[in-house]
Amino acid sequence: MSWLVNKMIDISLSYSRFRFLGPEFLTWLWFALETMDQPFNRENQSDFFLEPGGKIVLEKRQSNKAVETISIQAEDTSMAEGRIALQKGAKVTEIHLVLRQGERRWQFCLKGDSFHLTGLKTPENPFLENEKDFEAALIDRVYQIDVVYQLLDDLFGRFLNERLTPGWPRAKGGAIREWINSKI
Amino acid sequence: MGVFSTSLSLTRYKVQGQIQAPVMETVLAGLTKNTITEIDRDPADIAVGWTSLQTPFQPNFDASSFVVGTVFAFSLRVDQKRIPSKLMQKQMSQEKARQLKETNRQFLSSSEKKMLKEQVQHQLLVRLPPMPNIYDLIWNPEEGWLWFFSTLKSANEHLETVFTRSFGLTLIRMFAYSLADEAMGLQPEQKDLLGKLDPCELVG
Repeated sequence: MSWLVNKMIDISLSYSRFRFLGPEFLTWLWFALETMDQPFNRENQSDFFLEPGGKIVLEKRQSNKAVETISIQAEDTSMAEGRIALQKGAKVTEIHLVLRQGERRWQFCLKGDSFHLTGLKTPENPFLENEKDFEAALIDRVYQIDVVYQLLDDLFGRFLNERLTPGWPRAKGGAIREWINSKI
Repeated sequence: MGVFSTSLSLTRYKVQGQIQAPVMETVLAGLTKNTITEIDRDPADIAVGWTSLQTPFQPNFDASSFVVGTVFAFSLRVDQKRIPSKLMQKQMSQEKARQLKETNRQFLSSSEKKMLKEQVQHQLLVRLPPMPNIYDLIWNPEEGWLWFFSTLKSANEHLETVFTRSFGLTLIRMFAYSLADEAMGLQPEQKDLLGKLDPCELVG
């Protein structure tokens, strides 16, 4: 039981200690969506298309521990205001995304601190009439959620490979710094 | 907060530990032992336990009712009674007046007031029906992950407690660091770097 308590303390401490990692990933994700044709590189992901969903929340932590929150809702996916906030040192703490596969469409919000998925809407909403419908609908629903998690995990893996390179973000060509610092 | 809602909110967990064999029997026993109990006409103010995903108000677990394909699907139900403050105020005032009249006194001592408050709370809790909240979950025992269909802090805390009590396993919330550390298949040298990371500046 003491192992369990220690583990929970470790988790709680690492949540606070490494809280910055989620917002760094979301900032990188926005950069990846803005600058890459498509961020997915696995063969079975080639027909998926991910794009910003029109709302981004950024936070800038001040030296006096105050937090400035900037919430931007725009149809214009380049979101110039958000880019200006990045140039002032803010990082993305919440990003709304749309995932498409042909006619199928998912939309959701990913939170940087907690990695919670909220407002997830999947392509089909099941209509349940009997026991068989229930099982089939549940299996389908699991698949539809799993699609989102698998794609996000792949992107997070790519981010980690960059982030865990000594000297990042100057290493790897410093592309994300260039993007943030470039003229809007 | 259901798996079939049109808009879903999810917290993702890694399930740490191995389910004791035989798996189905262990899970069934954990579910049965920790099924929600009804607290209508009971002075308890909260009940937390498992219920069936399809029939959350008639919990019923049998041999395979919680198994769907390769996953387990069931729900956490939290029944809670909240006494409205104005109702409490009214009942206290009436009871206080009645006690003063019966004892022909002007004031109640602080210990009498405390006792009276406990009595009133007890009476109201017995009469009040609990408000049920249902949160679905999907658990993949083979891959060791669990999705909980709520991001509410209190609901997640109830889940973590009841899950460990029921199955002897630990739930680890998957936020950026824990996901990287536990589930991304990092190499040992990458894990070392991860543990030493500091926030980086992206501008300038």
